[in-house]
Parts: sequence; structure tokens; C-alpha cells
Amino acid sequence: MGRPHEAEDAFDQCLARLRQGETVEACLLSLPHLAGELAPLLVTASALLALAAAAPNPPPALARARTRILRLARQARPHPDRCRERSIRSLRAP
Amino acid sequence: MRVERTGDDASLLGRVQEYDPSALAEIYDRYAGRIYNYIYYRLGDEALAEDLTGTVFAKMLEAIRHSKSWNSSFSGWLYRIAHNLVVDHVRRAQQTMPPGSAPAMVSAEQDPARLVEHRIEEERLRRALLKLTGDQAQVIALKFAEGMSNAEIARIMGKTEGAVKSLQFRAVAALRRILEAEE
Repeated sequence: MGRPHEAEDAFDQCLARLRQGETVEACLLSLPHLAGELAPLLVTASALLALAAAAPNPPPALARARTRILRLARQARPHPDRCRERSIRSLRAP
Repeated sequence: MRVERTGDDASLLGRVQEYDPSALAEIYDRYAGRIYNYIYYRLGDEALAEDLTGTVFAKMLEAIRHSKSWNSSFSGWLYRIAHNLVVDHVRRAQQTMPPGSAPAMVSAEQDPARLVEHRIEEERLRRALLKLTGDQAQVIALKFAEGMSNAEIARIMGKTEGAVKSLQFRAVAALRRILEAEE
């Protein structure tokens, strides 16, 4: 029986290696005693990495959203006069 | 850029709380792309990802207005808002979508057979991702879409690095089981 979390640790290390361009087969070759358990998980992990690589670049619409957010922020910004009134009231408060 | 620049964020966020427009713009530029990627990875819909990214930042402003704020990690707080929006969306969609319907379509213009096959695989994987628990789906998106380290994920999810390692292992195993059950 392997040490606790051995498969989890090995899987985590293989993920880092897959990210650096190593293949699933190469990872499994270096961990023969865990190959049966890790193989299906690493194949799934490869598919998840490919899914991330297929993501589009953030679209120009994010620039439109930026304008909208900044407009919302301007509307939300406390008016300087109201701030001053609040400050004066707080000074007068007993 | 994957590393959270905590020191930078602290001074910037102080200015954001004063509604400084240049600070807000900087925060948006720093995080909008990452939040968009996170949402897109989980839902696979560009228009929806744009829309929900805008909503995340609108909620940030709302929180500032009501003097609510992030306790520790600002980016963690943003990802949690994004996560909650994704979960809400999925819940609503599952209530209205007929069983077995695919959420996204492939454009006929850019549509050689291989692209279609590829998109079908992507959709299959995304449908499986939607069946994971919230924590499992979140750890996968942060790890695979955002390429974060276990330490960064731990900070965002409020867990230890060891717990993140276990969670990602169980999440991928659960995903595998879901995919196998569909075959």
C-alpha cells in the first residue's frame, strides 16, 4: 500500500509536467506503480488543458463593459457637496 | 499575469473605494480578462461570459457603495462573485432547458467536420463540468483555465494547499466518472 496522498501528489506533479508540454505517457512511465490509477485522470486532465487553450481571447466587448463600469462608478461617486454636508453635520453632532 | 500583486492591489483598492476613476480602470484592466476566461471556461458562451464579467464588476461597485468589502484576497473575492453568478446561471438554465439539449452551437461558416467534432467534445466536457459540485468546478477552472498554483487557489477558496490538491484529484476523478457514464 502506498503512502497517504501519494496518488494525489503524483497527479499534481504530472499536471505541472503536462503544462510544460510532457505527454501523459511520459508521466506514466515515470510512475509505473500508479499508472493504472493515474492514466484515466491524466487523459481527462489533458482534455481540460486543451479546453483552456481553445478559449477565445477576451473580446473587444470587454472594452465596452469597461466604459459602462466607469460610468456606473461616476454615478455612484458621492457628490462633493453631500460629503461636505455630512462632514459638517458630524462636526455639529454632540 | 497569474501572480496576484497584493501590495499593489492594497493601495489601488484604497483608491477604488474613493471611486478614483483611474484606479477603477486599472483594476478592471488587471482582472476583467481573467474573470472573463474563468466564466467562459465554465460556461463556454462568449456573449454570456462578457455579460457576467460586466456583472461581476457592477457588483464590486455595489459592494463598495454599501461599504461591504473583501476580507483578505481581492481577486479571491472577485472569483467568488463570478463563481456565484455561474452557479446561479446554471441553476436557472437547468430549470428552463429541456433535458439533453446542448447550450452552444457551432457556426456553419467556420464549420469543417473536424471543427464540429472538436466542438462536440468540448461541449461534452463542459456539460460534465456542470455536473460537478461547486467546489470541484471552481478548482478545475482556477487550475486549468487560470493556470493558478495550489497556493493561489488555496487563498481564493479559503482552503489549505493540501486540501486543494485533494480537491483537484477528486474533481478530475468525478469528471472522469461522469464522462464514462455518458459513453
